[in-house]
Amino acid sequence: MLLGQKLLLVSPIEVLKRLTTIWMEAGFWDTVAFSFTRIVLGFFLALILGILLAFISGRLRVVEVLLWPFVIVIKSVPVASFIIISLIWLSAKELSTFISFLMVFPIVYTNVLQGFKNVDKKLIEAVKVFGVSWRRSLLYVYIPQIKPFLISACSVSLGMSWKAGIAAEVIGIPQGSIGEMLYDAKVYLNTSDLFAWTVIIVLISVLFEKMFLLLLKKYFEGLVKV
Amino acid sequence: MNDIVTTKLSKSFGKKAVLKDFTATFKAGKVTNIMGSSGCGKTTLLNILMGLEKADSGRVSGVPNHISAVFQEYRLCEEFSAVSNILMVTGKRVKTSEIERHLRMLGLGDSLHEPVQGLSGGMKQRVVLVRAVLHNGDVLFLDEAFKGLDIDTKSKAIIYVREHAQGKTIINITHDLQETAQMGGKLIKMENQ
Repeated sequence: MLLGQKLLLVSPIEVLKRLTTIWMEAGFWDTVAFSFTRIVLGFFLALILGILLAFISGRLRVVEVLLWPFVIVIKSVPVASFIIISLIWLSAKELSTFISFLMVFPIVYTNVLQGFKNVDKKLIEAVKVFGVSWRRSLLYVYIPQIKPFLISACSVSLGMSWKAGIAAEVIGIPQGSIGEMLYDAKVYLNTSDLFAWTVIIVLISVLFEKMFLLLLKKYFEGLVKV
Repeated sequence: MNDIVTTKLSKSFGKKAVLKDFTATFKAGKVTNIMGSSGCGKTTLLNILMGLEKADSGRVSGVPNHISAVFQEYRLCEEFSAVSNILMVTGKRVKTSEIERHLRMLGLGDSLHEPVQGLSGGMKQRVVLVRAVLHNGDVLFLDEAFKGLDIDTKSKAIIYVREHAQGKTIINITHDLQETAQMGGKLIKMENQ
């Protein structure tokens, strides 16, 4: 029987004990920084490109139609398939950035595009009649109405970028990543390390999500104050 | 500034003809009031003149590029204040203090910097009037621009528009004969098709 032998399911106390020591180990912060920078980079790249392409698609129907098959493919292909295919093209180090990007991009793109389509047509007409500049239309009409869609997209995709990014690292095993730590924990049946790293991933992901959404909301509030 | 001339304008929505061979001249720098029962095509005519809709046939000439409007709906950015909504259309051409002065003229001194979503219908109506006047278009299209205002406020608002849009072409759609008298100018009566 393996039960009670800290192998199948380690107790929460054991995990807490491991958490108190794990962060003091050499290379812990480098490992966290390695995965954090790459996953977050993928998230930001997808955010920027998703918003940009959604705006272009919102104005030019032809771009939306051209992008549609790509977005559908990214949405439906299993993440594991992407990880394995990407390993052929990319080095393991860049894998989590690319996979995080692929997870976030369709969510941001489709949400922002939906927001763009939901912008009050009567307001758009008013802006046209008054000859309001593109910059001011964006600030007063488009951003306030797209804002809830963007916040919702970020809220959903932030957690997913971490899940997929770490999964990519576990498969690609780039040296010095959180994924490598999880892989080692699995190979050496070190369940307490596995749970401790999982808790760390959840903490970083939640903290980053909360901070990012807070800053995003503050930014939008700042835009409204005129 | 030229007269605005419509020649044999026609417009249908499905099988319903809203405008049929509508011909009229709107004198440059003068007020023209348009009256008619609901559904007779007044707003459609205004939308065609503003370039928001295309006529099925007929011609429009003399509409300048720089126009102002009060629409049937408020069409305000609800999260922004009255001042910001006006800044959106005027840009830096009009100072904030000038916008505040105009809003105060129509009794909106206490709500200058509140989001317009918290304002009453009558207050929003006054905001859109100031927005149209300060935008300083060569033509002012007014689609039931004084609705929802009590008699005193309505009189003040009409005087405000007459004073500050003097010399501009004003096309005013209304159901109120007394309003046309206060606005002055010509009256066109439209019939249901």
